[in-house]
Amino acid sequence: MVAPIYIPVVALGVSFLLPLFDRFGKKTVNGLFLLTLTFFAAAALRWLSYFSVANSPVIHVFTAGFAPPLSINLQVGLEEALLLAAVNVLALAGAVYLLDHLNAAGTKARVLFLLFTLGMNGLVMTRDIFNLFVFLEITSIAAYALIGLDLKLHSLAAGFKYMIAGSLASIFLLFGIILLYQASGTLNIDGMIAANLSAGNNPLIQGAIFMLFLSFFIEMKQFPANGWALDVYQAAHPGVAAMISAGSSGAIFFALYKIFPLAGDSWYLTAAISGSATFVASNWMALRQKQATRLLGYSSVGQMGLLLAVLGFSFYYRQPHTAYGYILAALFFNHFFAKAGLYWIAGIIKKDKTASWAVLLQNPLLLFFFGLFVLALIGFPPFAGFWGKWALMMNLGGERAWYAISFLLLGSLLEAVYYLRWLGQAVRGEPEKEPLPATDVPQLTVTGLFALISLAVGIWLGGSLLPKDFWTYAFPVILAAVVFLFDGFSVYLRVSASLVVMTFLGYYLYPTAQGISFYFAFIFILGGMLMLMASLYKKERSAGFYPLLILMFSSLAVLTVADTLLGFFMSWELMTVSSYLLILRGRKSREPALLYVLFSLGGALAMLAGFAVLQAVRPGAEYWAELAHAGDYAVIIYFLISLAFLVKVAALGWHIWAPDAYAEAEDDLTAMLSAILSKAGIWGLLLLAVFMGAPLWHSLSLSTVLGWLGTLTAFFATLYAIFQEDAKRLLAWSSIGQVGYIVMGVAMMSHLGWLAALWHTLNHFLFKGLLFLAIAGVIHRTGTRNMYEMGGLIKRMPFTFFSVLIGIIALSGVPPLTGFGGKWLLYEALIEKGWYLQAGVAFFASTIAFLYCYRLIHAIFLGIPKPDQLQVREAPFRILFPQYILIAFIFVFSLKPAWLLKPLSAMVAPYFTPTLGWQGDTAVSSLGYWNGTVMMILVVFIFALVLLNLLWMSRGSKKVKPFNIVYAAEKPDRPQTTHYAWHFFAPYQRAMRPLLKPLVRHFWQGVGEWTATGGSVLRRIYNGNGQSYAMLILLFAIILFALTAGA
Amino acid sequence: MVRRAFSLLLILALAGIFFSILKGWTPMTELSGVARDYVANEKEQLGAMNLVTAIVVTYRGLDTLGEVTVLFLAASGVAVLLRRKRDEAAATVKIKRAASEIVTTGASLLSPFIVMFGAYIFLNGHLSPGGGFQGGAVIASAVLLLFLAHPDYKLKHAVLNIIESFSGFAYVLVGLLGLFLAGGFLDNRFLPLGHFGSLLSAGAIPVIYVLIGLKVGTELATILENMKGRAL
Amino acid sequence: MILGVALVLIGFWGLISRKNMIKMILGLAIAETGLQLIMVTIGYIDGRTAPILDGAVNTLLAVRQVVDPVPQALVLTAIVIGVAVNALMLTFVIRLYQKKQSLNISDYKDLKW
Repeated sequence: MVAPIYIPVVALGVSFLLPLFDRFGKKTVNGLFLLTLTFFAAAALRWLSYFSVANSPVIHVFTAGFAPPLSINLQVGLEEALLLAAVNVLALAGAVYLLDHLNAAGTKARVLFLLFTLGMNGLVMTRDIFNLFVFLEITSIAAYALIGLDLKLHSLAAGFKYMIAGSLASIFLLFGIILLYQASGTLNIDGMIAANLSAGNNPLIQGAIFMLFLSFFIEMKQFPANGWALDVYQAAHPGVAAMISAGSSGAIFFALYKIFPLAGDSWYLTAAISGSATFVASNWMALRQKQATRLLGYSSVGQMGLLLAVLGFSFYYRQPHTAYGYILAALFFNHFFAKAGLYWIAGIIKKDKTASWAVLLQNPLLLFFFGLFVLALIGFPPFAGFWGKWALMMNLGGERAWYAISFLLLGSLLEAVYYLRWLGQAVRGEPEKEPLPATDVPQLTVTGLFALISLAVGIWLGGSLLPKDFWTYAFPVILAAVVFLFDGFSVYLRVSASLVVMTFLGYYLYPTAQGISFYFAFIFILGGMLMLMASLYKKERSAGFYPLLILMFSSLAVLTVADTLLGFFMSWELMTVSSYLLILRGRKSREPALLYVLFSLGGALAMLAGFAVLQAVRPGAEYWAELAHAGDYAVIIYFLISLAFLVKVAALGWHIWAPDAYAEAEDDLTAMLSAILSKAGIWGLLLLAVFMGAPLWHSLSLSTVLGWLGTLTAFFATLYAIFQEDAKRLLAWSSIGQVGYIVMGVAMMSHLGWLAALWHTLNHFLFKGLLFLAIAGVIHRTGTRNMYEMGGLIKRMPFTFFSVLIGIIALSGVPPLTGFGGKWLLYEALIEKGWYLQAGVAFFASTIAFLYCYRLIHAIFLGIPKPDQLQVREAPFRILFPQYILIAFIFVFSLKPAWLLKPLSAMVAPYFTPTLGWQGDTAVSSLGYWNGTVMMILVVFIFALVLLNLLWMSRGSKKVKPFNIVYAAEKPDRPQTTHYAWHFFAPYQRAMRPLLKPLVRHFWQGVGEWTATGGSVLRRIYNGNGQSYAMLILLFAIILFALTAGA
Repeated sequence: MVRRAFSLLLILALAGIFFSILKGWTPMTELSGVARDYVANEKEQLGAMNLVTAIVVTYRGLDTLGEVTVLFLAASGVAVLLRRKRDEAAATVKIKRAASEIVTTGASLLSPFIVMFGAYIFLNGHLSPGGGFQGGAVIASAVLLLFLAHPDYKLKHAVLNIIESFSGFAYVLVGLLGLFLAGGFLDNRFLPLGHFGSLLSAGAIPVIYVLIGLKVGTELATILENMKGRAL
Repeated sequence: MILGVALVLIGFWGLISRKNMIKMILGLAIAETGLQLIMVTIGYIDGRTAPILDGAVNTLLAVRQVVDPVPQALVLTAIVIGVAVNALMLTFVIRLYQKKQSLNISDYKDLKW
């Protein structure tokens, strides 16, 4: 193992000599340069491995042969080793990345880089406060010079602003240090801490501490004293910006961490406030930002704020070295690797505007890295940010830090908004005509390396937080990775692999899942497999489709067995992110996918907040079952957690993502989303009901609220459905409405209600899967989603017609198919519960449902065929086959409802006393009875009679052909107006106008608009003038003084 | 105007802050803490007459090495930033008026003495006020004088660079010798402490100060030259 | 001490009220000088001599006779660092001037928001 003193020795020795090597050529210089950095990285990694063994003694270095405080000492312990490893690996990778850039500026540029690295190392290792100042200056001066290296106007101007800020910070720092020296008689950090200076409340000492930390807060780029940092991040070469954003900011943060015990009590909360304000404000101001590197700047600044806030909280709550160490490490390394990677990508593709990042489509590998980094920064599992966020929220919850929780979650939601928009622009933006600049292999390699490290760090951190059932929760990711291996092969092989993997998952989960959870697992897994088969109807599937599907289905399945809060939340997030990425594959799905993921994320963060609140009542709560003891907080916890589920079921108010997302997703994917994914929300609501019952808010039961929400959702969504011209949008609204019925069932909190909900869950899966698949087949053949562009397809696509027919019968709830059973149970339950008004609305809604069901058959299959659709073929067998499996299920359960109802009844029995009895195969409730078999026979008999009668009556009618209708030689501007099915329910639409106002959509648009505008007004304070930035710094000083002196 | 007033307010508020912090300040009356140890024990430990030098070169030697590094960094930064890019025309600094006879003669006459004085300062740094930085700065001032007198004066780059690099490298090596032969990096006691108060005393302190003097002198000279070459 | 603080404030005033970048740098330099003055003042003890153990100081009583050497050592470092930063800042100004032929700070606000 190398002694730490050799880092400065080697760095300086090489730096001093490097200019002399100039004459031996560029290769020699570069060789020596990279060799030195490799040595640093290797040494640091060696220390890291040394300290990974528990209780390894800390390495101390006393310079000059005297013990501190006489001399300056360096220290390397576990924390230092972690930082040093990260910093030096970054330096090596960053040097490889920047090599050409540095070469262009001569040997001395490499000297600057080496000394920059030395500065960061010194900041981490030194234990002397004045020495800290020296290393800070080394780092800063090297950074200034590196920024100006390309001699461009913007870099120079930004560098100058940075130097002003840095000089101001140095003045305050020195002032503070010298006053502290007078007070303590030492410059050694440990000595100063031991002197416990802040205790005395002496204004002189408090002032010294104020200046010391003011300086560090400026260096940490706190709002509003951070305009210079944004300019630097925007203007500097991205390779340099990466070094500053990750490297030197990280090292400075560590230095602050090191001296933070010096600060007194008043500073802990101040740091938390300042950091939180910076985090929220930067992410807020970034919303309207279109410059890629400046956007990254806002995000970097925000992350520094977050780190400072967490540091403040950790001291404020007196838990510095237990939980918060983990949180700090997770958040820090998440930012560190991902941000460096993003800057590097920005440097590779050289596009200023985020909107031009669609150029990434030309390099899938780079796009993949970009996606990983973005997801890491937003804090999706399995990245470190996710674990950090979780642990932070749980801790803050335990401390009842409600403001902190709300602000930090708000900040991370804002951050997610612009990152996800950016991801959407890269994946689904206007494809760039210009080719991607030739990719430099070393640059690509280091970027990939950081993506891998980012992933590895996340998994490693997750492993320590998820000790129980680690493998169960890791399963989705592993299975997706397995399927990913098959990505290059034919679609058949990929589907087969996916099916095998799903079977395996089912086998693995089989023993764990019981009762209702078994039921949902069954739907998720078998349903998923069926949908996988259907996906075969398209011969070509781009890379990543099947891995993402597997990720989505298997995380759904894991949700059903997740008994821990963390496991559930993780699977929930995995499901969200995979479904988002899947929706994003649709051709026009950029905006809908964004809307979907933002709502989902907002919901998920609310759920996180709910779990956090639980910690206040049950410190350390890990299991779902502990929600039962929520006590006084039950209402708020129930409310917060249920938000996540309400978004997923697209309940009224949180539904606006759904129609667009369902419509624009790939056709077979829509089937999966509607039939399967929406059930995740139902599962969540059931879980909530099982563990929390129906909390009372004053005298109002939350389940009553939920019930009304479901009712109104069912009503309004159905209303909207009938006015759609797009078949998929129609089904989307229908889907929202149908799930509304299920929510009603769940909300009733009774045996019959749940039975209705469970029954309808399966039923909705069957018929909505069937309908969406059938429509997918139609779209596949006709190339359009608009119903007025179709017609008369019954002759061309009879099998699909039959599917749709069965689907709408099952949907509309008329006998004899399963839909009737659902409705029957629901109305029984509603009446039994006494929810008469709701029953009325629901009944009205399901009558309206006939209207849109009718349109599906009428507009698409009946009437006159379109001239260009005369030769349309039947849908491919591969998509028909799963439909007929679904039909088979529908028939089985229609004929023998007892086969399903009896097990369901048993599943619900543990929670509610059964009120549904059996006489043989006939279900008997207090209000009536139902025998599927008899009903089927009866209905088929009546139907046959009517059909025969119809055929008999119409025996003499004449068939109408397309050319029987003439347009009188006029070509209409809008051809659809001539279609019989266009604007079909216009009269109703006029009548219902007041009800159809998209109030919710306007509300959310207003929220979005005002938020973004507010952010863009706020960012005007960064007017670009270096002098104004200096004034802001002084202003910040005054604010900070007021905050700390006031406390 | 608003801006002016706001600036004034800021400064006044800062003045208020400084006042409220420093109003309780009292000058030191006794040495305390680490300073006391230095004053009491330095003579036995390091044997340098000038306590400040002992602190600068040995006790807080790492700071000083860092300080040299900062200067080196600045010199490198200036050199890199003022490098001639390929598309830039060669320096065409117009000299408005040649320096007068008196100035040129005076400069030529004085500069060797100034350099000598600088060398004296860093050689005696451990004995009397002075040291490597001061000496180096004095040497650089001779170079500045020459530039003023002879605007087209060229320094010998190769020699300067070699002196600069080797003095820096040798500084690090001397530090390492301290690590190998004495107590730690930059320990001056691997050379005999000698007779207190004589030129060759205090172990490696004079050696280090000579190296620092050379390094600082050459670095400042290069900065000056770089800036001259880029005169506006 | 008062002089030092006054210099710091004057320097800050220069920094935020002068549009000329060179004057801004001078403002910072003045503030730095003020700070250096403060540092030396803090180490000064009335009626004592320089921390050089020559004839004027009785070696055994040195502790009672000399001023604090530590701030003097620190101020040396601070001065050198200040010089280095100022040199680099001036270099930036030279380069900026070559780009836009202006020394006015408010001409360099292309980057904002």
